[in-house]
Amino acid sequence: MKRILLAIGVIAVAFLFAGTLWGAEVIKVGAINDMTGGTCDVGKDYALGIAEAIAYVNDMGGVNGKKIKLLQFDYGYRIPEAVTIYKRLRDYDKVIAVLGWGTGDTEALSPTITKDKMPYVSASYSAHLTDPKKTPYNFFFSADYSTNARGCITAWYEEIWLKDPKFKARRERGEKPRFVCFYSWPTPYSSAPIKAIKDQAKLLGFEIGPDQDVSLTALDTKSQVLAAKKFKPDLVWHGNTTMSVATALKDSYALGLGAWHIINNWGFDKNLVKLAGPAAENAIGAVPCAFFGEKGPRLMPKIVEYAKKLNPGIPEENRLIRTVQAWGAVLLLWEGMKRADKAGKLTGEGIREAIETLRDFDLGIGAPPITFTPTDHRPTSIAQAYIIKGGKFKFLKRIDFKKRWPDRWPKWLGW
Amino acid sequence: MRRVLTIWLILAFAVTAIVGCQAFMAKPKTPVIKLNRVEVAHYWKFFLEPKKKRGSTLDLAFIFDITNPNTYKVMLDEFRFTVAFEGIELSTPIVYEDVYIPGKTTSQLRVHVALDAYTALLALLVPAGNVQAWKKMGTKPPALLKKWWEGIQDFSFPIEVRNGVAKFSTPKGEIIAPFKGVFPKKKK
Repeated sequence: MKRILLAIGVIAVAFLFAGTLWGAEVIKVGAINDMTGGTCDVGKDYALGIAEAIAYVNDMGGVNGKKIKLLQFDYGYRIPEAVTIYKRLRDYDKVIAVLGWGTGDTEALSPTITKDKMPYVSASYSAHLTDPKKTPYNFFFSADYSTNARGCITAWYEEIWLKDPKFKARRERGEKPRFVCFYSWPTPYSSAPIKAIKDQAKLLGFEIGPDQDVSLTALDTKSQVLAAKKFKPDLVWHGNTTMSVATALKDSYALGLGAWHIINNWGFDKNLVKLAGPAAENAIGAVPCAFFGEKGPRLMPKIVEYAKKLNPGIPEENRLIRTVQAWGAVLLLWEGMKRADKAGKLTGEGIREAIETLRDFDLGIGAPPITFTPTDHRPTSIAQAYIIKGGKFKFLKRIDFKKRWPDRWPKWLGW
Repeated sequence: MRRVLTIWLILAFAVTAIVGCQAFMAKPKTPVIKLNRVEVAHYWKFFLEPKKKRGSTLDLAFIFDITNPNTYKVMLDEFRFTVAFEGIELSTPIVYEDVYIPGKTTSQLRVHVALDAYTALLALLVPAGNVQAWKKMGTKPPALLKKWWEGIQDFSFPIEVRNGVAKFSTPKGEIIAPFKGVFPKKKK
């Protein structure tokens, strides 16, 4: 009788507790995003994409059965706030990895995350973060800004300058194409690839004019356009985000600058076409992955499905390539965590080592395959350039810098 | 003594079995979230110095009523929404505190949102939608911010909660509850 009573008791207690044992084992991952600050024109969509991608990962079984708990915060593009949030995530929430955002905060946090052995997968694709000797815990999935900048200027040089009959006479006279840069000088994101793009410009034989300082919040760039006009540039590189780039394109169009435009990836999306209208025609930009809703990539139907499911209030036509980029960051971290867990080392160090085993890994989002090694954190040597034609994005050129300049590629690591 | 213990255990078993089965069998109902009110929690006089990258702070408290229509408790796991003044989006707060809501009850949740005039200025200048909105109003960002900072004491313009999503954990899995609201409520 006693045994029966004991058994009933055990079952009853089990039932009582069953209701509270809801969650399986969880892994905490932090996210530091800009939803309200100087880069929120692209940051908001990225932040939505992070949450949607994590939901997908959990529905796919998480990290070998362990669910991911995402702790996402808006830091308004204020670097001190990003540092404060990071400390909270590290000390209180005890996250295993962080999905970061801008170049300023990512570079500012880099020494700390290195000391903490905290994998930090950011939306900053600054080449400064690619040398594991200096930044061993920094990762991203795309070609870095410097490779993208080199890609855009090379694509323009080879596809426009060398082929367009308009430039034939000047080419035959041995004239050099003329080049200037428009970017926010004090903004780490905007200025990160300057050294690289000027190096590439020299390599290709450009004449380089004076830089123009354009704020990320610029609503008027006429003075910069007029200053650049004195130099008569054939090509302008834009290093800011969409809103600011659109302003510069419109002013260039209105003031008859007469130059072609190449744009870093965070300034090149369908909002640019909406905002700049005809001024965006023929603009060339770096594209890290497929555009939102683009047919082809394996995971695109899921990306669209989760956007609709988790954020039904936001119309599909308002979603950007930034969502897909966010998926790229999450998928990279997920793969690293799965491999680390399988190796029995689900720690910061283990995740780093696991990511460094990726070789020609396809994320399924239309990005070039990625490779990481313990000595090189540049995910790819391939830059993809697209051109806006009739308001649509058309593929222009894909350049593999490692193949094209094998002697120089190793020397370009970290800048 | 043994009889009392037996009866007690059988009763406990029956009650927990009924409650447990109910919890596991029935599909959970989605909790209902309503914006009860907005309060100005802390207030500083308006100033904006874009060159020094600073401006006055505005601490708002958003109070929500969360009704759990289920017979069992649910746990609020994540709560996020976007704050818009006159249709212009300024901030997206997200909170992760675990809050248990007993069955068939309404609990209240207070979420503080600290806005500063300089960050609000960036939010007005950067996203295309916001730029179009203030241009349509025929104003400039500093003037609009001053109007908001001064008018908020009387809630002279609509404060909107949009794209709200709350995640709840329940014995039956996760539930997502969308929500939205406006304060002050429109007079009928």
